[in-house]
Amino acid sequence: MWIWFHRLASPPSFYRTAGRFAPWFLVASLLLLAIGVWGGLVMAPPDYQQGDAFRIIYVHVPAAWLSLLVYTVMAVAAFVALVWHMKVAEVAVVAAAPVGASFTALALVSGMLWGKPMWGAWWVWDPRLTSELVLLFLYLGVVALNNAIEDPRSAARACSLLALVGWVNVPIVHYSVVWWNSLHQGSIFRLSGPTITWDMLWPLLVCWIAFTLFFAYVQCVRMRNELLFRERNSRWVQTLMVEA
Amino acid sequence: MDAEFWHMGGFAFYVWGAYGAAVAVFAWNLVMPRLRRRALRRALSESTTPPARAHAHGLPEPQP
Repeated sequence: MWIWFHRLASPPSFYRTAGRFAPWFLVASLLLLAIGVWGGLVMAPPDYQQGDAFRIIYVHVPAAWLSLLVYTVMAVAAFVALVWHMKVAEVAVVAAAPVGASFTALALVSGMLWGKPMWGAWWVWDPRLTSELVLLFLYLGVVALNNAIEDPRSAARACSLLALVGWVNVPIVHYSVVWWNSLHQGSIFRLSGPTITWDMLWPLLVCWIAFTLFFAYVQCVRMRNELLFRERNSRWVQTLMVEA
Repeated sequence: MDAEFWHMGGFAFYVWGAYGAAVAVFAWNLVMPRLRRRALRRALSESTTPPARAHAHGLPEPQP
């Protein structure tokens, strides 16, 4: 276990391992995405209240899930980066931020497109929507901070601090529909079982896994790029470039 | 696919808008790292040549 951990913490072996896994993440993700979208758009019956508009769920929920998952991954990496000064963890923080920002934006846009026909408004200053918007600004803050500081390692340190502090927003987003009176509907996953039928549920679960695998792929590829850049003067990168 | 499918029970704009946004986000996430990788490879393979060229690709000059 510890050998495995040490190996992943070393940039050249992480680079190699991530390169080996990345294509499989992508293939599995796109395959499941095709199945999930087909299930969501074609197989699932229209909702008895929302008609076909409910099909936005297959984009909206997995994107919103990723917005929280990516931030949590980023915060864990930030913690490791701050405590142990681990290069791979620093790279994970700066690599995750733009991906998280893009999926948070997708959650917001798909939510607006769902809110307009259902609530009659593109946007309301509701706790769920507002905290998700704050999440987008946190991601953009990490990206901007990373771009603003010249030295990559000090930049990663500053980004990690922001990412870690900003994590308090994640439970706020998640529990906002429980804590406050929200226009946003609650979770469809309850202790008593899901509140939608299996025909509607399975494409959602498939899309959910597909989005998560897609993040795994993008994270691998972005971290590899970032490692190449940061380690460009080290021997392993130079040998790699000569071989290529 | 028949017209009824594309019509989405009158919610075509919202449903296809959401899926279109998803396609855009996925495409962006696929293309951006690929472009960065290409630029990095080009800059790194040229790092044997004078540092001025690496600088032209936005890379700081290699430290001695």
